[in-house]
Amino acid sequence: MSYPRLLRRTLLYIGATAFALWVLIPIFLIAISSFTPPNEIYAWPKPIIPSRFSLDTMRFFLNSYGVLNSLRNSILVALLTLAFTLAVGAPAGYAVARFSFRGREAFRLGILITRMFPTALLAVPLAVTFIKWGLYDTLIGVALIHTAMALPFAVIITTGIFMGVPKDLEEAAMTLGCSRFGAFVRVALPLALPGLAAAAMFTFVISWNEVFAATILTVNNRTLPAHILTTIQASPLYFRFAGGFFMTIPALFFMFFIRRYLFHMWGGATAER
Amino acid sequence: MDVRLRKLLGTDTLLPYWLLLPSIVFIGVFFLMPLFNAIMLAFRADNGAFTLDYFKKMVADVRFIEALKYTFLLAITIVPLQLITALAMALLVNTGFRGSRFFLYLFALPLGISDLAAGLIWLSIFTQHGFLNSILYSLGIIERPIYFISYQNTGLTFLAVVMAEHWRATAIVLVILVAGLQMISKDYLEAAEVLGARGWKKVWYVILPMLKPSLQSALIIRTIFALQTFAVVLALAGDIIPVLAGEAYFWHFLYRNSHVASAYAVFLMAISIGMTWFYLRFLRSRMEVIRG
Amino acid sequence: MAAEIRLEKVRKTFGKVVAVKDMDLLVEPGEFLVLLGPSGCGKTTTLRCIAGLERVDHGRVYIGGRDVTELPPSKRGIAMVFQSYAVFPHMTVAQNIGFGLRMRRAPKNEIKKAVQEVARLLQIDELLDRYPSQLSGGQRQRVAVARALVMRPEVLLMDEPLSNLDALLRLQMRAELKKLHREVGTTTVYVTHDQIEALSLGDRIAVMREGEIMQLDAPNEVYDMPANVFVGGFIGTPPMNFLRAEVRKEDGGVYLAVGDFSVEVHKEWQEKLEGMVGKKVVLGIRAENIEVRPTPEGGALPARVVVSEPLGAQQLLTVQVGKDVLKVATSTELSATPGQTIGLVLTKAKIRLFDEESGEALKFD
Repeated sequence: MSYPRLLRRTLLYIGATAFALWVLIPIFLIAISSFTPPNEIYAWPKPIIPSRFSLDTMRFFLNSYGVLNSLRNSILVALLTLAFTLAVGAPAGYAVARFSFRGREAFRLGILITRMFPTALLAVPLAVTFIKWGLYDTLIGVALIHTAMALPFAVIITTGIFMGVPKDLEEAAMTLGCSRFGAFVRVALPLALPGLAAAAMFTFVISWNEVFAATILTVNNRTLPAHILTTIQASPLYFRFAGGFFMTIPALFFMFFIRRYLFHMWGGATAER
Repeated sequence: MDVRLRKLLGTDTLLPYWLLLPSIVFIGVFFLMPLFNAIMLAFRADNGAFTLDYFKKMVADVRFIEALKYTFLLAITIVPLQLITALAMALLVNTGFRGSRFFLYLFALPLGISDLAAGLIWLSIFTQHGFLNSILYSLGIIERPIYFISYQNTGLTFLAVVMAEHWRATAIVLVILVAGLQMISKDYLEAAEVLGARGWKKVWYVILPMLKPSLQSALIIRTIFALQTFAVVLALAGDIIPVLAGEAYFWHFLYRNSHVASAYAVFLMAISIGMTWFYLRFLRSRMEVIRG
Repeated sequence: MAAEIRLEKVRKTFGKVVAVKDMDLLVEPGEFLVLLGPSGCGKTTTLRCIAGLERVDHGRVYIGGRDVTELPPSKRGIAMVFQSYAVFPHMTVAQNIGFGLRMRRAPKNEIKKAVQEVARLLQIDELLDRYPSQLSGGQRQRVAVARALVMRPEVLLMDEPLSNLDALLRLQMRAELKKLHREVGTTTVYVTHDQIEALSLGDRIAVMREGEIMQLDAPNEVYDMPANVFVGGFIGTPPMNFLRAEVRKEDGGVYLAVGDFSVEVHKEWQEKLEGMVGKKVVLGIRAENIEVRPTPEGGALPARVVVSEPLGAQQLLTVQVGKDVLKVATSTELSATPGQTIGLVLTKAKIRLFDEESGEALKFD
């Protein structure tokens, strides 16, 4: 390898490593904090590596009043959101991907605009409506606004996924004796499944991470982020650190599985190719 | 039967509309209706009369101007920082060096991290006995901890928020830009090389102009989201740095006044729409921008 | 087994574009009919209307005498081979071929037997356990054909099945498809834009343009006696040559004037052209029906050589006669340099005449 090329490559790796460290070090630090004994959190100067690995901080967090309950709520809300979003969004994504019909472009534009809209703010008027409907302070209520937030993404992602399944395959199945629905179930669905799973995970993460609407729409049935946010001022630092780390774990885990589909979500244009 | 009627009734013609129906109904009930209600709540008193009282109350609040100032300051500082950082990352990854896919995944990691969690993560760094102070001390740079987060040091507190938001949300911009870079046909790049454009020249004269729609789209999306910054600030700085979304939350949650909270929400949405309009008006290639 | 297909006034529009224009078509039982035309002529749409993948706006479709206009593809007794093959990527070759029989709920052992039989016929019996991603394009194509044949359809529809293969494989598959059709005898409708494929495969060829059938005839008829200028210009490599001419009469004999020169016509045509004296016509003649002489002596049509292309067995000359450009095939021995003037003698029996305005062939019977 020639000298300039070697230099260029070295510089590339140095740059990439620097960015990677910038991303990873804070995650690493919060992880360390969560396994530092609570009293050492306040030590001065605090050693980067704690004197001993301790589960006390994590245990304190999980045993704190309301945490396990809100964790359960968070998971339920995220699962409900996932179910609502896919049930409502996937058919629309399929329609946009498969058919050309009057109003198709208008619908797509509408979806793209709602994707950019600060939907979480709609929790404020929804709180008033939900009180009337009996949905205030319920998990379904939170899941509904989370669905409103995730829906544009779900439609865009599923459109991309179904566009990736050639129309010919379904038509072939139809000439071989399937009904339209049968062709979808036997051919399009199995081929779209990995993508749909990624869309589901993405939806889950949106709901799991959302805090503004969840806080506005609940009082007793808090989700985990809502619980942490509303108790933050009264909580010790180690509680906050453990909470921050705990909320991060599933996100990192899911990111690993949806990494191939990341560009469908925001890079809408890629999905349209 | 009339041909057109039969065609209309035929499943093939109507099927796509049936498939869209759930999402259109959903958007109507959980998007358009609350949007309408927000405006109603903000402009109508409990007796139903039109009023500007809630907006007056909002503006008269001591924290309003501060919140407005910080919200805009945050957007103005964070968005350019993120664009530059993400562009650097995207160009780096785009060289396609060995392992670049892995680095791309690492760079995109914060995409999955919530604003609340990001605030708490950076709290562990900036708090009084946090990692930053500890490191500065052990390096002998300081003798006692600096109060990064305090009412006395709102400048430093603001910087801490900027760093946390910069760290968290650069990934979104990165993903948009990388998607945009992937759209640029290799043919153009090879043509550019044949014509003698290499290295930075290629970036400047070929890649950047072709990436413009993606850059603009990232700019709009990030600006709108930056205006809503909320949980990062609350987790990291409590109420030291007021922001508009935070005020909406306080008015709803602490003062139990959904009218003023709605006024804040409507105000924020209006700014967001105004910003989008402004960008679309002054930047070209509108459709591509919205498409991302 | 083999059924007839009948289209009655079938119309299909997409928005404002009329893809199929009130088409009438009768495909005989067991016939191999080729729909040929340039892209966008509506040939694939016609095929999809027969398959039931497109709903016709208007008109009826009959298969085996049964009105199938309102039936979904699955109930029409058809099988189809797609341009992209549409082999299911998540199923093995055997599962792909057996898919249709499974949908019919045929007994397992029967499916297995039928799959093996058809796989042997198409020489893919070694590949039954593989997945499509492990197959070459040619092998996938065979799977697609096998998957259609195993259904023992009354009608087999093929949409440009060879267009994604490389040239050599296409040649081989073409012959094989022809052999298969002879063995199976299913009524087949085959869509292609490749006129060589159409000429070699079809019992009859329907040449289409803008949603209408221009000519429906046996291959040699379509080739030798194009119904109009479009068909003549579309079929054949090189396409038919066209010269502007005028019917004239002198000394009791009718002839065609091409510029300052005269071209004699067939004796039989003499009297028929009698009534058209003074009328402008288009003279059509194929490259191989023009004899080339080194010089324009003895009444040969003078032509200036523009380009000569040696094509191995023969050479192709591009020549200019007046304002018209012609392609002429000749032996490689004749030396023709650009700019040189040569003589052309048109084979009388092979001349076609077309109406100058409508482009339709003049019929003299």
